[in-house]
Amino acid sequence: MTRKKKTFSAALPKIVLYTSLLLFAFLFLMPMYVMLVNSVKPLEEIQSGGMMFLPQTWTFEPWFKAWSTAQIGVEPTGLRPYFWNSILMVVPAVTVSTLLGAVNGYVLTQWVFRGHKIIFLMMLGAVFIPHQIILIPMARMLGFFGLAGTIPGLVVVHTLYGIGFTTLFFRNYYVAFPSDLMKAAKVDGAGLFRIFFWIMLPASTPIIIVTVIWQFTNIWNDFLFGVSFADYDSFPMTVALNNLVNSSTGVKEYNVHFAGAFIAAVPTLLIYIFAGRYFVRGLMGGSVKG
Amino acid sequence: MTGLSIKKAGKLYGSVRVLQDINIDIDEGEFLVLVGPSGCGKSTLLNMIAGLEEISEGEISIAGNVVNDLEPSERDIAMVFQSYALYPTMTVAGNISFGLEIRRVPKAERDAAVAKVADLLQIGHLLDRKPSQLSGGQRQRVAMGRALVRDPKLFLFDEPLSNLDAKLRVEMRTEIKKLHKKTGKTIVYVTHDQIEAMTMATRICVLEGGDIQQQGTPDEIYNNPANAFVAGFMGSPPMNLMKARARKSAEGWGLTISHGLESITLPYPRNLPDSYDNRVVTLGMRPEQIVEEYPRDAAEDAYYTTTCTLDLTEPTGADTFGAIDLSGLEAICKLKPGSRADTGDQVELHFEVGAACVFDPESGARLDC
Repeated sequence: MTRKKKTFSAALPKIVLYTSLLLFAFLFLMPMYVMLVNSVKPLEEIQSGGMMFLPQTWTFEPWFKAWSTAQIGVEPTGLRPYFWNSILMVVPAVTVSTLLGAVNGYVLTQWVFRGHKIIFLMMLGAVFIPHQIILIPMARMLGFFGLAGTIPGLVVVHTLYGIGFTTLFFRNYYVAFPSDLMKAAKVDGAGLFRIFFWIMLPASTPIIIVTVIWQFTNIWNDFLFGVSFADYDSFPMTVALNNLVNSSTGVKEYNVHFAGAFIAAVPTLLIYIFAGRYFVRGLMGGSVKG
Repeated sequence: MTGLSIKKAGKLYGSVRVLQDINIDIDEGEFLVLVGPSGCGKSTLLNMIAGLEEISEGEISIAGNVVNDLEPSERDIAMVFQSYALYPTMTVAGNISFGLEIRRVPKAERDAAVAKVADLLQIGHLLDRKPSQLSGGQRQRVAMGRALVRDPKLFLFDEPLSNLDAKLRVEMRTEIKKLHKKTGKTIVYVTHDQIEAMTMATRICVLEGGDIQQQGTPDEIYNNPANAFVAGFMGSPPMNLMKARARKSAEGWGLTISHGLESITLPYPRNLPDSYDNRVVTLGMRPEQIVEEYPRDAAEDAYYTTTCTLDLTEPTGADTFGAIDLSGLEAICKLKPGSRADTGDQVELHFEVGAACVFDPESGARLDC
């Protein structure tokens, strides 16, 4: 009897831990469940109050509709063109900002010059500038360069805004880079760019993955810049999703909205599933140098 | 031909001076070891020779060419680092040939050079591996291969053995020495380990506080130290540096040291400056100059014999060392091999006074000549 009591009290912390973990998992997964089941359900089933149940009739019609025929604003195009807009915006913006961050981090740590600390602090400052503050000046600038309402315009904005973050990431990674390696490369006769492309960049996989995930998720999920600087033919996915939900053609097609929201989230989900473990590893890297 | 010549070189970081008035001249093929405690400026000096640190003052020339304004890659040097500094994403072969590749050496020539070096260092079977798959000793060899393959005028070694375990360190020490004999290249080698300096160098330069304390052959440095710092730094176990009172009499100089409650007066056969009469000086004697066994072929008056009380014995196998209280310090002496003497025993010890060094107690400067 006493023995049993003892094992129970020893197991208690674990029971509490797992119960609360399960509870939180439930809380986080619940909305996703609702989205998923309702996106494969005919509208009548939702309207008749069956929101929490599995569908009686399975249908992928809402997914097709959200993708290719749903009303976005005035056009019945579905989310498809906007999905490509987002891709066209995200890929160059992520690539350029990551590469610039890497070069900045490399120069700021390995080729230090007078005033490098001030320059870094100023770039770091970019991380703390709220998006809203730059809306009007940025709109003026894009207008001046003829980039207002275009995808390249969005690429420029996201790249500029991302450099602060990417520089910070790479600087912190490279600052722990062994200085003997740089010296060895210099003695071997390698110059600034040779060392960067042949020695630093190949050894930077973890931080590249961290930066790409970070930049991709942020840029893909951005709404404010998209709605402010783009036009009807250049809106990114997030803005289109908003328009899909707000375009009223009489009935609210919840199943189509759910499917659309899911489509909008798919790329970031995929990125996280495939590279997520590097994300944790990369953020931890350097803290315990093994 | 000169291998390396350094004239009045100095280094300043802002207003902080870390090296001053460094003058070194070595011939081609010499093995120069820069030795000193950490922070003495030896690595800075090596980096200045390599071109990785700017030369604030003076002039450095390698094989007759002034290199002050040349990039590291233009100085015809190769360097081996303490951390090996192998490029982590390249294979062993890639690491070794990287420098050649940058110099646009054709592929066939490169491969031949890599094969030759790999053969010399016995790392042929490792060429396709990454540095992370190698042991410490193997990494060390690859790092040396990377230096050797370039066939430079001057090799620079920056504490290359410090990261190895004791056994491997001794092995690699021998190997580097053999390599030097075989290639006949000029080498500058930095270490804080005086045994490495003694065993490998043809010339040692002892640095401390940004100054050269002494340079010379290992023999000169060991037997004829220029000051108390060099005397105490070189040698293991180190030289005993004891407080003694110098007195001049009709028979010559005598040095009095305390031994517990008694005192011992050693008749000193060499001459000291008169101003040190009746003053405290530092007497330096190596453990092998205070011995239990009277050396067979030594002259009768070469040693001064007296009885001392042992505080401790330390058998090391080949030798047995004893500690005796001289001037309040644990002075190390050398007992007979396999000596049965134990703590508290009285032993007769022979002091080789003629070989002892006398230093100024404050400046550490050598006084006897």
